[in-house]
Amino acid sequence: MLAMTSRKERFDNNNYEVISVIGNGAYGTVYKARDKEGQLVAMKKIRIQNTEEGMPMSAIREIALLKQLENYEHPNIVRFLDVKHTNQTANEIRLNLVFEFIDQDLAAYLERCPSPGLGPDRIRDLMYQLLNGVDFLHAHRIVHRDLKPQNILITRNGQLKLADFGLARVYGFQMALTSVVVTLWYRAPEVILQASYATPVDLWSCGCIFAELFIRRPLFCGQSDIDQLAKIFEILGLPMEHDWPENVTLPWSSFKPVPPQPLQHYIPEIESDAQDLLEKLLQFNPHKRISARNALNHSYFRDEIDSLRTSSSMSVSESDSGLDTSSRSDTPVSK
Amino acid sequence: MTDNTAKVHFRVIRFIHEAGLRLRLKSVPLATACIIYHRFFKEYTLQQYDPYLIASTTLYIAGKVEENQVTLRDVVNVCYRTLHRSKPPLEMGDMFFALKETIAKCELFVLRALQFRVVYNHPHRYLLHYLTFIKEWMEPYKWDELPLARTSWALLRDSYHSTLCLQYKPQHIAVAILYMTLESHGADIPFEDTAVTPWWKVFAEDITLDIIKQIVGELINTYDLEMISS
Repeated sequence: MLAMTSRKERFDNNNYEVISVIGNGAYGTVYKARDKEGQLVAMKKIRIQNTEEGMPMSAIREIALLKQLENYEHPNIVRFLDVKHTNQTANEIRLNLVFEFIDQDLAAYLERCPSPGLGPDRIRDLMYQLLNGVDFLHAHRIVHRDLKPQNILITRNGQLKLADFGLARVYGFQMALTSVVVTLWYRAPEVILQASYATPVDLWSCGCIFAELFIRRPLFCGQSDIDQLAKIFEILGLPMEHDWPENVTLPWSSFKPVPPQPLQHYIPEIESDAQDLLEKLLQFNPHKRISARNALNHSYFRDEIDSLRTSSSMSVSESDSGLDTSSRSDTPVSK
Repeated sequence: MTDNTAKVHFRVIRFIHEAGLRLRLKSVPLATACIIYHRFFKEYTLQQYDPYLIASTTLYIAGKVEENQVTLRDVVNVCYRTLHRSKPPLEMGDMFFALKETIAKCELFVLRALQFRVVYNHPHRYLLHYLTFIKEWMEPYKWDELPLARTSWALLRDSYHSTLCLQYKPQHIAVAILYMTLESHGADIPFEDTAVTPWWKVFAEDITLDIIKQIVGELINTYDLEMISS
């Protein structure tokens, strides 16, 4: 009925040569590979459940969304180059997702950075690019949910690009099968408490990363869910009871009331504008946390905003803003 | 595209609408199914693939993409029934299972053929947005008197019989649909004569009257095609 083999070669011809393994994440293996032209790429081999009903809805949606986002070629988002079908069995479809290859993540970048660390201008530039990428995702109704230095990439020219977003649900099938521990350090309190969450979770992660740019080590290093919350409250103080989310299993009263500590104790180099932004990012109550768009307009970035007006070289895409302001939303995303 | 090919595609798109409505798919998933169909046959020919199989598959994919999921069982039954009106409904048997498996396999095939490019920015949301403006601008009695929203929504749905959706920006299609709606009801935008900027420029800065007329012209051709296809 369907002559599917006639075009088979065209699809199955896998034009990539694997060079080495980059990493084994919670989501499967990532390879460094080379395409026909000799260009290096990062290739993620993923397995998707195949059922009698075809591919799971979530997998189709997320891959298609990634594909659509690519139309905008946002400067702070890693390029998604290709999707290749390799083979399939009755229960499983194997796809290779091909991304642009960037050999350095923010964790490595910070490790390599010589003492006394990054200068204030470099920190501000990185933060601006980070928030710009996050704002773009949020404008397209995508919540990253797992922002951390390991999936923030830094090119040779110092350009920052976000990776690994939008795929949590594609990988969902495999997640249950792996026992890889996912880091808690950048996780927003509402996620740890298993309350409902939306775009603000990414801004919390941005706050944690912001602090890390100054001190070159994570701000909150919890060993477990409870320990992570305790570490957060140790610095920020126990939140007010009315800010505690409803319908969560951990009651507010199970934590010792502690007062907030001045952030300068932990981050001595921080200037006042930066500290104000950090405090707005590390708001316990997600409704009171600053949005990516507002963060970009914060006075901390005043120079950045001024230079944007004079030169158009900076990484901001105004071209699509007219198109998609209507879809911008902070409403919970059902993912 | 030959006349004959155009007629076949016209009938298949009508089939997508009929089956889609029976499956209770909403406007946007229906539009997505049509656009996936058009894109597929931009690359492949009717001699290579059965258009009704591809059409049934696009309905199934569109349901998933737009989170308006329908079961594969319903797609098989409804599409079969829509296609074979005079025959008795499909029995649970070899034929049913074969069709089900075929669509499940065809799903991955279409996704691969289109490189997973199945999420679209449709004119619907723009049209809705523009209509709320028109409503504000018009005298309330005038707005109540004319079925502008209903007409434009119907025109938009019909526009998917053509490949307009692949050729023009969604904002431009929405403006042209609105233009045609106003023309066909003989309705004017208040103070349009004295306005500095024509109303359509307010909605889409980069649109010209030429583009609007091109789109409207193509839409009218589609209705001519209907006459010869039925």
